[in-house]
Amino acid sequence: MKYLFVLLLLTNFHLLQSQSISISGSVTDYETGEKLIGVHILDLISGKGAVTNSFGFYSLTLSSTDSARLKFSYIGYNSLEEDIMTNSNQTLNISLSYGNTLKGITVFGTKEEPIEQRNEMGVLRIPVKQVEILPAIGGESDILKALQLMPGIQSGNEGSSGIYVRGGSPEQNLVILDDVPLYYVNHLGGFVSTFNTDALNSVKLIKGGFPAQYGGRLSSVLDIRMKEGNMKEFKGTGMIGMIACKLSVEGPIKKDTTSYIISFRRFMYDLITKPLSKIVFDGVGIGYTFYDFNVKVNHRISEKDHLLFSFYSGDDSFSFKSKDKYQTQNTLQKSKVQWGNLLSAARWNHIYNHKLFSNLTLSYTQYHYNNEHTQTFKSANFKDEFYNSYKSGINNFNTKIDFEYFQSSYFKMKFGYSGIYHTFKPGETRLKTIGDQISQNDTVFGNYYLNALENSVYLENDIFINKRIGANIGARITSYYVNDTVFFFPEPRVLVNYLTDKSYSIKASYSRMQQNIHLLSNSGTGMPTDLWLPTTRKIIPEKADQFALGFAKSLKDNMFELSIETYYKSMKNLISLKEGSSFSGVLADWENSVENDGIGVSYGIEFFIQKKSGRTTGWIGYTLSKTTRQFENINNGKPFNYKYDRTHDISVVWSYKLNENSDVSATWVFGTGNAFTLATGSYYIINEDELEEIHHYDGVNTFRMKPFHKLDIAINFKKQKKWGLRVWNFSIYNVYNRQNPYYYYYLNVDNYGTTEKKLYQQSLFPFIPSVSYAFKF
Amino acid sequence: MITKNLNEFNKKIRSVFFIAFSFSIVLLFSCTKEVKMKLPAHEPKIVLNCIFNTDSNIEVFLHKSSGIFENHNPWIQNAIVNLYENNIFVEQLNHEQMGLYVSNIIANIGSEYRIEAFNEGFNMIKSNDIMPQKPILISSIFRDSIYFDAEDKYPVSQLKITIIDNPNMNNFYEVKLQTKEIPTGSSISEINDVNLRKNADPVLLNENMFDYYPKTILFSDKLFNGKTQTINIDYRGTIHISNGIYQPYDYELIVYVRSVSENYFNYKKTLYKHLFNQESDVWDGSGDPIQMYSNISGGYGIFSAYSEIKVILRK
Repeated sequence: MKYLFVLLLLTNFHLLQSQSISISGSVTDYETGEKLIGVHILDLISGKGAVTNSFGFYSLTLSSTDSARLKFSYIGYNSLEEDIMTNSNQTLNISLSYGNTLKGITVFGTKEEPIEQRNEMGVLRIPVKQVEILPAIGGESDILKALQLMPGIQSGNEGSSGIYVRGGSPEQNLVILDDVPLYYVNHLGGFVSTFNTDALNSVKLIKGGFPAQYGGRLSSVLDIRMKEGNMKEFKGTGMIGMIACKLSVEGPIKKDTTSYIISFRRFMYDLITKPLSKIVFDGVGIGYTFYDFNVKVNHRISEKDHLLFSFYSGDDSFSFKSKDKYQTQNTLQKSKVQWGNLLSAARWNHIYNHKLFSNLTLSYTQYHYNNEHTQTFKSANFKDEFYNSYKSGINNFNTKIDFEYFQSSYFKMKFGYSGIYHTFKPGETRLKTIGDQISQNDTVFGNYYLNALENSVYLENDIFINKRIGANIGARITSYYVNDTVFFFPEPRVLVNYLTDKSYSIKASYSRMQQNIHLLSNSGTGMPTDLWLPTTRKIIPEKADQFALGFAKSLKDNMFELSIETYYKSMKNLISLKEGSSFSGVLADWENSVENDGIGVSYGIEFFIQKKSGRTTGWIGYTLSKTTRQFENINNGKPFNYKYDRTHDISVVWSYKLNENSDVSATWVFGTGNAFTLATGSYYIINEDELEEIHHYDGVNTFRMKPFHKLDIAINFKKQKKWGLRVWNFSIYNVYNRQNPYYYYYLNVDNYGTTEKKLYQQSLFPFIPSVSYAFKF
Repeated sequence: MITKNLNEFNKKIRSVFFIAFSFSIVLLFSCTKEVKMKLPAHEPKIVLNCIFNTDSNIEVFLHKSSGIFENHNPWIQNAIVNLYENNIFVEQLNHEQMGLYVSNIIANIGSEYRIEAFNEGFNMIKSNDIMPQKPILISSIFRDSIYFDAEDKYPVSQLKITIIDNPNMNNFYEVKLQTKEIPTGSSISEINDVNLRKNADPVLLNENMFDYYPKTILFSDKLFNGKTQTINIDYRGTIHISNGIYQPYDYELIVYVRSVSENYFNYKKTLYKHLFNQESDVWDGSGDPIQMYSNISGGYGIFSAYSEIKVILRK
């Protein structure tokens, strides 16, 4: 470890450099005033460059004797060139207008920093605007489903928005919204993610070569930034789709100083299902809905200070109500199950000088699961009420400060601190009875909290040693305090980028990741029974070491991007529910209900070629991989295929701008079938005088489902109206009606008097057309 | 006293999803088709089934396991089956019919029994278990139709039993309930197993078995070792429904309270989970398969013991 810090210190020799000036500032959208993240700034004379950070800030250091011609380029925006004199430090704020023009047609153009020059690997970015035109069930564009089309990222079950990154599981993904972790990112049983694209500014996913600023999960970082609100004028967008309806409004509270954005999305079908279910279920009203509510307020205090307030609330809610009469007794039964996230954050950006930037974040985030049930019995003589509830969840208070120091074009340093106070609620059950015929009772059990404090510091150096060799070297040190026990662990991170004279680069990285919180989740389709649990003496932190080696090259003036990455990831101390264990709201002895000695191994190679500009855009991704798990008490201690191990995974994404008002897109995916367990033998046992057939399994996940493949297409028609823009979206899911396997099962069928066992495949989603209507004003 | 089964909630949620999607222009319909899959050959083993108690002679069923697609006809009729009590050879069991081997003895409380079976072409199998003490039941009462479950459209009744747990050892229990209708006029009395309902009894909740639709109630003394404990058991009430009118009838509740061996306990718990997870539905997919518990060395099946008290309660 000490050698690593010596290395870190040595790499800071650039601090000694001098005789230079700095140009710094922010880059915003010309029309909205929104900060632009990832804008590439290039001095065309010296060849030195910089990129705007997550808050649109940049700093470029140039020689004091130079004059410079700065070119600002950003995905989908018109590039801008600016001549400046470099005799002193100066602030240069730039606004870029949206839309590259190619024969009058707006396309997804890009002039961002070429991939081979970036000190990063395993980083995926998808413009939100591009996600919005991809095919989607019910017209509901989904950022997670778009990411599933990238190499190294697998989907789980068909239709689910869960992501499995390089053999990891969904709980190993650090999902952060405006610097704050979110715990539950799905609605509708996993069919829709919690991210309303109308409220999003940028999306970045890191699957390897992790920078030291990120930590706390094993497999990926999904960094999502909300829009900050239009600083210039009031604007709105909305959509009526077949899954949900949504509306966003944004505008200035004080022009160019304070802005807001408010977005709301809701699943509307409960308005139909409640009355419908009363018919179908004989008077029983059942309703399910979800919503997402995003608010952000953005205030510029001065050129150097900036305040941002973010709020997100998103819940799924299921309700049940029935009235009935039995003899002389009236029964009223009410149930409600609600689960979701609450997040609030306040951030303060401060620019100390042309080289030093900081962001302080104070936040609170919560995942909650509440299940309440009341039953009332009433007659002329008595009234009895039975109430029970189950509550679980996790609360976090976070403090985080991040500094970015832009020493020169060759050296940038990030460092910071993060403190998270976790409160875990493993599960509180309350039973209450009030009434005339029953004994009065009010009992609560399981109402204990587990508190843990997680502190991390990190240092990350982004260095260009010379014009060919760049590196990102850093480390993260975390202490974790729970139940009078302290865990302390370092996480070194190294990435080296070698740019050859052939204008391609070879990249290599090593990352150690550690995860202190664990998720227990019942299998099934989006069961809302996630239970987050802390590291304890018995359930120790999960660890992952990932090595990656890659090749990257941009072609045709960065119009195409080609990358090949191979990786090897080993994971330790993984947990899993013990075979046959489950929990449904009650887990009195959770530490003894889990296997905690899991080993995971994942390795593979990923090919990715992307066309980023022009009338036609899109990409082809291919992943060849292998993922296994091993637990001492599962599968006789032998390694077995991970359920979502996918040997071959191919994605083809194509978008084409037909004209100024319409575009068409298509996606085609192919994947090796999921691994699954199938009985190969059987015998009988006698259970309370009845014969029962028992299935015998030779191993875990030894069989493969048939390959998964499907084609989706979408077409968007836009029309400028007096009041604004309207967009009709028509999509077809599974165009050629492929029956992809969801699961297999045996069935005994009668065959002319004899019983014959047959194997059946169940498929889920056939050919599904859908339509949505969106508007912008 | 009513806790709704979370699985039922989830199923309802999924039902709503289903309704929601069905309202779309697109109907979400599921597609099922038969598939052929080449499976590796199954290596057959002897399956021994023997659950013995203190009320009847020990009986052992033997058959062979088979490949999943094979028709079952594998009774073993010519095996050598030897029974030992406390490591002393008792007898070689006689084959009666269809793989049934019957002993001349009834098991004694506290004794350890060992079984060995040999059949040509197979490895010898063996197993052993101890007959537990009888449970100490100090009271059992039940209330009929304590509430009406509006979802199930049935009244729910409740049995309360109070037992004294034997200290300084791990004890395992099973309760089985049956109803016997009191005949009126010329009607015929039938004995039926009851349909158990989830409730909020902490001992039962701690076992987490309700989700698997068990036929019997299983619990250990983990939460009340050496103490007196009352267990509440809810079950679907006994009514006839005629033309939509509920007609309760008089019945006897037959309560079997068993003290079971640890092998029996593990076997039964695994069995309910195994059978539940054999079933698949479109919302859950196929459950993670549960390998069946067995204490038969060299084969499959179960050799385990229980001792029982039977109580008949009148409504």
